[in-house]
Amino acid sequence: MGVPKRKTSKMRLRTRKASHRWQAPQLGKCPQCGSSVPPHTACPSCGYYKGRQVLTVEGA
Amino acid sequence: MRHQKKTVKLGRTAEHRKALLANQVCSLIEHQRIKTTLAKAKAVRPLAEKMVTLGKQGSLHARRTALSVLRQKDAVKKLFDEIAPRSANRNGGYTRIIKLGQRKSDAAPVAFLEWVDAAAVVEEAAPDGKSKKRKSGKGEPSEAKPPRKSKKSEPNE
Repeated sequence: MGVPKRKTSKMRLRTRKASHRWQAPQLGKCPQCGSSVPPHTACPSCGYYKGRQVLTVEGA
Repeated sequence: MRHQKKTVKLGRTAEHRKALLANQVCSLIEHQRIKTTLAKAKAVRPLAEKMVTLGKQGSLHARRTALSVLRQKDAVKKLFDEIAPRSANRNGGYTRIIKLGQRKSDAAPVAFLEWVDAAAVVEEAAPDGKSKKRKSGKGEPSEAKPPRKSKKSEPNE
């Protein structure tokens, strides 16, 4: 049966795991209220999208 | 293989899917704007636009074809009398999808599906919808509250 010939070194292991690192989502700024918004999405805090109100936000 | 098969299946059988899409289009006709999952919005969109195309033809045959798909007489009537005429000088692209982020319960991406030419109509119905929503959201820190009117309360699906 095929078995590993060498123990995986710490560097090799960590190099491999480094590619699994978590990346923060890319967020843009709402031009209306300045809060962080995912791209191509109506702003959840002020309800603006592409320069016009698209939904009513409670407490906005 | 799935190559070039464009049908969005939505995890439903054919008849279930047809009924769902027809209901969604009828809701869209009735309420001008519906809030649904992004996948459903994308599936509803082609059917809704085909119905508008039928509405623009305006013939009896087109009306019966639309009725055979939608199965709701009042929706077909409104489609032919109101929605199709106001898109008369638009060649396709009658609907708009606005992404709204993820739903809290199941993290499903949610979106508005609305008529492009309905903007003015929907915005006029703003004040009552806004006051309804404002009641629940008390104690709001007054940010730069835009004087712009907002849309009426959104019917869900």
